[in-house]
Amino acid sequence: MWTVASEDLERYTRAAAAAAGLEIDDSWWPGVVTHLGTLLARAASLEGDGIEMPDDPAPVFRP
Amino acid sequence: MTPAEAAHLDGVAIAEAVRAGTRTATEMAQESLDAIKMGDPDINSFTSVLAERALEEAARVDAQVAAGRDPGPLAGVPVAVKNLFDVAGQVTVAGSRISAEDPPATSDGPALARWREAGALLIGALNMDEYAYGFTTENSHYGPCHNPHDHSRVAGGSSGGSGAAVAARFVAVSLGSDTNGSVRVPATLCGVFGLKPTFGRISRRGMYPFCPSLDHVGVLGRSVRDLAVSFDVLHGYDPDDPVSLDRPPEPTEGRLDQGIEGLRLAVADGYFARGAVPEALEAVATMADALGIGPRITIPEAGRARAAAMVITAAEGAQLHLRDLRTRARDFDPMTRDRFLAGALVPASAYLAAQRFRRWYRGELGRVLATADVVLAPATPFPAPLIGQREAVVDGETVLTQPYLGCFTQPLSFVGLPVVTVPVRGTASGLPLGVQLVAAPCREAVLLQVAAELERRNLVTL
Repeated sequence: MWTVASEDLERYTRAAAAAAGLEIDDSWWPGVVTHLGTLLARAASLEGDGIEMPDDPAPVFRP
Repeated sequence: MTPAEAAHLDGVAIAEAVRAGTRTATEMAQESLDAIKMGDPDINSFTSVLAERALEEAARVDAQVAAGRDPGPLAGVPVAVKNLFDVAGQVTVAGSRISAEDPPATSDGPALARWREAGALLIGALNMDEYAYGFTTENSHYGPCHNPHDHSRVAGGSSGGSGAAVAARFVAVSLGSDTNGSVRVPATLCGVFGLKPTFGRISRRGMYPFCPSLDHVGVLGRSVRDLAVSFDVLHGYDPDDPVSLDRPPEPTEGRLDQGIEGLRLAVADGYFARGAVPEALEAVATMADALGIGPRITIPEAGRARAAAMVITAAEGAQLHLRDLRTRARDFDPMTRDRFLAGALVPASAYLAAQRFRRWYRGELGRVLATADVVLAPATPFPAPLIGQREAVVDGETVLTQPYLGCFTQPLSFVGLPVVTVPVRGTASGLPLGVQLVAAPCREAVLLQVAAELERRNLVTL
């Protein structure tokens, strides 16, 4: 799963932003990296004991 | 009846007076417009006031009454909509500077059209967080929306204008949208009722999207019956909304006087019993004690559900704005820009993990809610923060104010459950707080039934 080691995160953010055609101003950089790190950490936290994740996500969500 | 007395009527009472001919819709529209002119400079809940349209609609309602026809259950009721709903002839700005350059909408969205057909008078469009990405309505383009109970505090968000305009009695009822709590948080912080129906119950067509797999339309009002009548008018299948639920309408108004006898009520414990200031948790306990609710129920993995909701929200929200993020990121509100940019960089594997978790979690909640008809939980972790306040201390830990406001709402909307928030007053702060009533999908009627009982027993405080 995704890790949030700062140097890896910065490398990933720069590469992904360049590939996506996004220019990130220097003044926005700390905020963007912090938010992305938080999101990746949250995604990494989703697997836990007793959680049997189904293989398929619901493509059109129905409650 | 004086204008001051009329301002204390709820929507149903206004409609009764207009239908009976004791008040005119034109009077109601004018009194609403006067109240906004007098009070909204201090609140900033409206981004546009549509006086001409409101008075035209009022004249139409008055003509129907004069002709002996029934204008509908919301006859002459002043209403307003979050400025992400299409209003014919108006630009749907969605709290942004970028979308303010779009052409005007050619027609009202279906939700607003249904309200209009029921006799409601559209007074204007309401302030919000840019593209609905926030919980405080501190909008850098249109200014912050101030809480009517304390102007130094936020109104909540993202439907902050919708909460403030109802609490300030500028309008009786308002429309908002709720993706992670954006109806329930402002309803709570402004001290009014909020209804977030089941996902897909009210058509989202004509509503600027934020996060398509989580977006709901919701209603804010000053009485339970206003929510019920509004929901009854608004909900129903729309084949042009791909997530609309294809099931017959299920009216709720007739259920409001049925009491709670025989209903299985419970209180959410675990995640929902910590992580908040004491008065937010006391509000739930007080209500539970008054209703004699003993059972406690555990909603498993609510913290992870919140985490997954954040990942999905960021990824889907950014995808909608990718072109503008590439070409004009400077035009975004600084309050949202960093989060949209980060969301654009979320890898697909993270997004899909969140969706897979969601499917598991939906199954778990289905099992939990098979054991209770209505579950009580806190609505927000604290009352309205100060405008500009970035951090708060909860249980000795410092949290970021804005995202943390949604800690109790996100795990529930994440799987589309219907929720009603009822207002109470904090014992320590004296500021509004709220309690969420939660049920299984499509059980809005039972939620409103319980909320009406709380209202009858004077357990709510506007």
